[in-house]
Amino acid sequence: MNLSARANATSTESVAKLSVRDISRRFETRGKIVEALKGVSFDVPSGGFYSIIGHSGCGKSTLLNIVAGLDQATSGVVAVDGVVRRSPGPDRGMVFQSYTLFPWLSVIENVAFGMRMGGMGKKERREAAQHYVELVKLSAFVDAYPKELSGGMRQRVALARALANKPAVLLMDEPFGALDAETREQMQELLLNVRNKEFMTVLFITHDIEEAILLSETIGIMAARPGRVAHEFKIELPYPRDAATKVSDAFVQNKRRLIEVFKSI
Amino acid sequence: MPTWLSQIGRIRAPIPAALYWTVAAATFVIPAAIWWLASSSGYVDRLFLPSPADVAKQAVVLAENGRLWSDIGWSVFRVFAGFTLAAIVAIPIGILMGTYHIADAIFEPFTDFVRYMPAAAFIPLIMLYVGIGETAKILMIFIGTYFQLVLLVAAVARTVPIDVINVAYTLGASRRQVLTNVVVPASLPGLVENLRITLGWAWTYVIVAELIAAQQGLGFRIMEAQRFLKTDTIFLYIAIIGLLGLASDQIMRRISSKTMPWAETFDR
Repeated sequence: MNLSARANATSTESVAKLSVRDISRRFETRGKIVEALKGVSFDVPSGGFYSIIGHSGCGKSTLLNIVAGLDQATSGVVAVDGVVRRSPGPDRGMVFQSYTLFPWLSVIENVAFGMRMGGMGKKERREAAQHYVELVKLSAFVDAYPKELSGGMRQRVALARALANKPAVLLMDEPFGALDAETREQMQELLLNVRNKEFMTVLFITHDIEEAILLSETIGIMAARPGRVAHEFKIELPYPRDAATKVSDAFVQNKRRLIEVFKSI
Repeated sequence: MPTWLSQIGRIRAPIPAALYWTVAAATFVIPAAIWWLASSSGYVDRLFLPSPADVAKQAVVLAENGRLWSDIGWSVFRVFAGFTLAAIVAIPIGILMGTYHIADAIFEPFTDFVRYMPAAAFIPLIMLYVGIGETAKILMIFIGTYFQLVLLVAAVARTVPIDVINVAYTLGASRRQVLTNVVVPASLPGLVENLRITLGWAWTYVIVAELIAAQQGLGFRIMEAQRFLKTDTIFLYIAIIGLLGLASDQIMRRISSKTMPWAETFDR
């Protein structure tokens, strides 16, 4: 290997923001051992958008919980910037499918929560949070409480709250799964829009094939029993993307290819 | 058919506020009217059933000589002291029980055991140990409410959704921060609701304690009135206990909606 090739190899390695290596997870229920995940490996490059798709029960959420540090792998490692992570931390921010806003905090206080936990001063964190509230287009609701917000608005706040903490990797566990079809489309466009403005590395879980194609650069297709990444699929669609991308020929071609692979597993 | 009429039988459907309060007022007015009719009919001995006028007269007498106010004052003080003490101990322990399994193991089975012992059965022991002073009454209220309250608080803390706790971890909160900044505030509305309900039991136990050993207070006066066959005083004091309970309930509701405007509320 010549020198420049080696330099190249190291640089490709260093851009792997998130590395998931050989993750296995076994559960024991009523004396029976269930292998939820077996040998899951993939990388998400810095600034990348990686989606995991798979049928329900294939272990997608277990995998994401392990990456977040909320569940422990039986074997294998998760590394962020080359550093192994075993417990949850602010470097892996998360947006859940269920509504997880803190009901006793206003929108801006929710967004500033992570900064408050980190010891940032009130004025400073409020200013920083303001930017993210604007980013998700909720400036008119800064002082509203979660109970006054619709489902889509709550998930926008959850996204702003995760981003405001400047995580190395943003983890999203079917974040639009509980929303109606129209709101979900709006949220997908908003996420694309946010990603145009903010540098972020995303690991996204969904069972919606179109959503995965529209948002991702790479899709990992999970097979079940035991859960594993059976295929990796590159999405060849230029950015910036928007809702119109969904009706383009290139999108349809990607979808056709993906469905074939999806059926074969 | 007017729309409000069709709303009545519908599960959880709201009804007009005017209808709500008219019905609520009727539940006070109708029994009072029946009482008044029965007592003025002459069929029932006044000794057993004094008329509303007798009771009102007695209220004026006792209010004027100040005994009514001092009795209310003593009972309110005892309820306040005993209940506050129970809450101060039960809230932190209950939250720990609902949060850590080890705390649950330490407190829950034992609390379940004591909870089934009738609180009034402790009175002889209380009198033996601490006499018949204020401590005895406060202790009585404490025993009567603490063991119930601590279990209710634990149940509330257990209902904090795990995803809400987990999201705090992913935002960089430490375990201690999750306990103080997530579990505690998330439990507050349920906690206040349960305090409101257990406060009613504190009123029951203060009367039990005063019936047995006291020189003043609402319960004592009821006992004393029985000795002198003053049924009007008994009626008056029982009604006052009800009113005080109702008032403290409303105050708690008011405080809860004022201090926690963010809480999801049950619409009338």
